[in-house]
Amino acid sequence: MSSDGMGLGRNPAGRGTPDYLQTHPRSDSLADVLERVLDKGIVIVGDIQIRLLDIELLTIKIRLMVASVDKAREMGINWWESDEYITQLEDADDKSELGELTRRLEALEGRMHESPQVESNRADREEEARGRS
Amino acid sequence: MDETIVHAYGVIAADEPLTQFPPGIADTTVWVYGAGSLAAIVSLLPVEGFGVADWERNAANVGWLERVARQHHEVLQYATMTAAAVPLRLPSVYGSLESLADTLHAVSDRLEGDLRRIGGKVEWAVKVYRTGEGQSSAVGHAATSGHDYLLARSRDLSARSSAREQLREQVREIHDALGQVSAEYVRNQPQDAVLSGRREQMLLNGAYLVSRADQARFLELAGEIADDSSTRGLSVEVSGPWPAYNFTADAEAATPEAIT
Repeated sequence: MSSDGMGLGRNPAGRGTPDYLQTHPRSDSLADVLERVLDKGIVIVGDIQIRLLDIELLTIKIRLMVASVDKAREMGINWWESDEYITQLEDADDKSELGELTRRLEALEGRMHESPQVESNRADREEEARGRS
Repeated sequence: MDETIVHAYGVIAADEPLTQFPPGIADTTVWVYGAGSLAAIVSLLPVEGFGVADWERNAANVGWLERVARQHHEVLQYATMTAAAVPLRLPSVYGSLESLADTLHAVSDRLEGDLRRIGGKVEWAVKVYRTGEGQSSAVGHAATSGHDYLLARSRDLSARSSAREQLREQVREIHDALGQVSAEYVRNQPQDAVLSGRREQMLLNGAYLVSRADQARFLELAGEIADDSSTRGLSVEVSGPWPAYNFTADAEAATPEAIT
């Protein structure tokens, strides 16, 4: 059960799987996995180890980092450098996602300075998070 | 083992008969820790290497992060094959099993709600990319005067804007059609071209919570949409089944519009 379906490439031979269909999970792109495990799922704040605010802060930093061109280059992804059309698209994306992330990061860092007693606000923050969704 | 810290991957109902998990983070042994009507999928990580400072320091270390993220995901993926598992967001660490149990207990209503919501269902992902003609422009080719140039430019802009509108509509239709076969569906922020590793612009990054019984129908529809879209300059990619990452109370759907 566990091994069946694992480790398949994008178009596993002999199964007649069409091109568009990607079965799980080895072929998942890093972006797909990070997007989910860092930004989705639920947060249950534990005893002490990493506070809710820190988690969010960390998540955003990671997302900024992953989305940054320098890091992509380090990971050996650099095909866009000679592609003007893509560069323009990136500029547009910068304004949306990265801009939004940067704003959230700044806001969170601001809040962190304001309220060192974050833990006592945990219940409120959880309410707030629930209200948002 | 030396000092350890508890890492929780996800939450399941206490009566799920799950065993023989794949290795967890840092190749640790994963098991199910029952706490009342709920249970957490856990493993013990060495404090040295996975303490708070390590998480913070390694947030900028793609290699480290990738290993941790993939192992976290693999465990949830395994659980999802047979059970309903509420995924926990990374990092999800607790000082002890007792404190994890207390924490689960404190939010058990919410967790049970999430479990009911995703019970008998799995998540599928559908992405749509633009593969058709890019933004070739007629401007500059035939213009012999300033007036011609402006005219051509204005025609070009309005053609582009109606093409964009059409594209937007097509993508919305695809998303909604898939949503009709789903219990719930959300549209996430399209991934950056650098992040996705694809040249084509991502137009749709959708997630669909599909009843296990409806999966065949969902995939059949996705296949039809994929075939149909290829003639319209769109490429459709389906992946799954995923753990229900996008369908818990905390998961937020990001901005819906990809086409600018």
